[in-house]
Amino acid sequence: MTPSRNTDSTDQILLARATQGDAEAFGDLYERYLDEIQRYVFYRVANRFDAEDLTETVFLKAWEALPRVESSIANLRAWLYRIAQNVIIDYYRTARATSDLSAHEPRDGRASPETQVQDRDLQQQLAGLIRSLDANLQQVIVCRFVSGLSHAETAQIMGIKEGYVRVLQLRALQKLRQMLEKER
Amino acid sequence: MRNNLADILASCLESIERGERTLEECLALYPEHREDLEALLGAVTAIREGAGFAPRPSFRLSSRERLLRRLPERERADSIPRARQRLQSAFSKRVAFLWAAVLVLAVALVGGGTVYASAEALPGDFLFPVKRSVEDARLWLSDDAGDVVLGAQFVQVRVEEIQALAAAGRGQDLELAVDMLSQGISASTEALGAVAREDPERAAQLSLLLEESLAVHSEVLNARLDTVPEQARPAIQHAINASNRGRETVQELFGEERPGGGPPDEIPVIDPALPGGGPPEEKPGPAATQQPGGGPPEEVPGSRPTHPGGGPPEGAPGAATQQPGGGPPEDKGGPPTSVPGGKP
Repeated sequence: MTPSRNTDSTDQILLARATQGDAEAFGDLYERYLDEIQRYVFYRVANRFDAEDLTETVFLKAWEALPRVESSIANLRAWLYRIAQNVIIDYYRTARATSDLSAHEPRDGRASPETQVQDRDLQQQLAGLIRSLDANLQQVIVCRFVSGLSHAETAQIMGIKEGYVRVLQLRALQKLRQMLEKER
Repeated sequence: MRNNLADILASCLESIERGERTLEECLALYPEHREDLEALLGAVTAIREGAGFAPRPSFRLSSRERLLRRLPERERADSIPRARQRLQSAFSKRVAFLWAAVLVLAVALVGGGTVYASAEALPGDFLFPVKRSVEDARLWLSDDAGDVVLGAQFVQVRVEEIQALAAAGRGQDLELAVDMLSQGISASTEALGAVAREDPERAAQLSLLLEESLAVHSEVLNARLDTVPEQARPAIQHAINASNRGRETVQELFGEERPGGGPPDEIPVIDPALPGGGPPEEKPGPAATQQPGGGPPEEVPGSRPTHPGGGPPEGAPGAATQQPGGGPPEDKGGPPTSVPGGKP
């Protein structure tokens, strides 16, 4: 579970240094947030390679924006998630997303005794299901149950009220439950 | 009733997440919703079971360096002195050369045909490290301009390897090859940048070579896309994207400076720096109409200024934001009082 926190002191120091142009400090921030940002992106686009490209884009945009906005960043994590959300919107606007390549990979014929392969199949299957939800529902599911964010943090990232997060959460789970039942 | 269930579900989830209640205790608290809650919490369990995605180890290893290379040049120069960059570069070349020398010596002792045999090796093959070491040694012996030419050759080799691995269905090795392709392209563009600092005219000529070579790779890989096994297609697409990005970098650096400049052909290029500030094509959804009470004021790159990060409707498949029969919820105001305890 991701701890709920505002930007911590290490982040603040790295952020300040990165804003001054210290690329190594920015690299440290990248390593701190790589896993969760890439995980968030993966479950939104259902394609491992696109998730890698988009994650790098998120951090490039963050780097470019830092000198303008550093003083107003109260919560680095929420800020990065919101950049990620905008990068995902851009992704869906490009022709790349219309190609069916990023749809979930086939599961049949790839059964393997190796746990790693099974895990990847399970992750790919889940990402494919999530991707077929409406955008708001995707975001709630990924923030809440993949990234482990609270209702309040999810609301902050999505820019909506907590009460609406709870409603979207219910709708998303109802839809996913139906899809999971069909898959079985 | 619907909102009530939403609040009850949220309350149950929060108390379970905080370890304050078990699933059974939650279900016992709301017997009238037991069936619904059980099914919904079961879905949550299923999601969490599949939520263990982590970056590939090879990506984790190489991505920081690649990202830092892609950061705008002047900021990088501030943080990494040029002398240190040169030292790092020279050091890595020396290490590569020493490694190659050790291998060549070992190979000479074992059998002279090994280096020759390694030319056909693919990523993941026993002899592949020999092949890479020979490449590294050749790069070490050349100057920056030579690095660009050799880099373009080695990128070509990677593309051939990618095709062979895709055809053979060697998925994991294919991912490694695509990573090496990305690294090779980055190294070549970096070498091109180094040439440009010393000899802009020569760099402009080399940029044509590199750009044309990358254009051909995109074409070749695009042509293969429909013929390779389906599992290999994401990796091939990734390789195409890497080639396109490399071309864009070269075009950004030299597109206007070359005599008769401009791209050598018209292969469509995906713009990774596409600004997200363009107007949305879709109708605004509930998320856009509900502004957070006291939401964060930060500027988010790519966001529209009127609704910063406000969950605009996406062009994603099925991205309708308004649910049938489910308009914006009532704002009940105040925190969810049914949840015991506060946020830690």
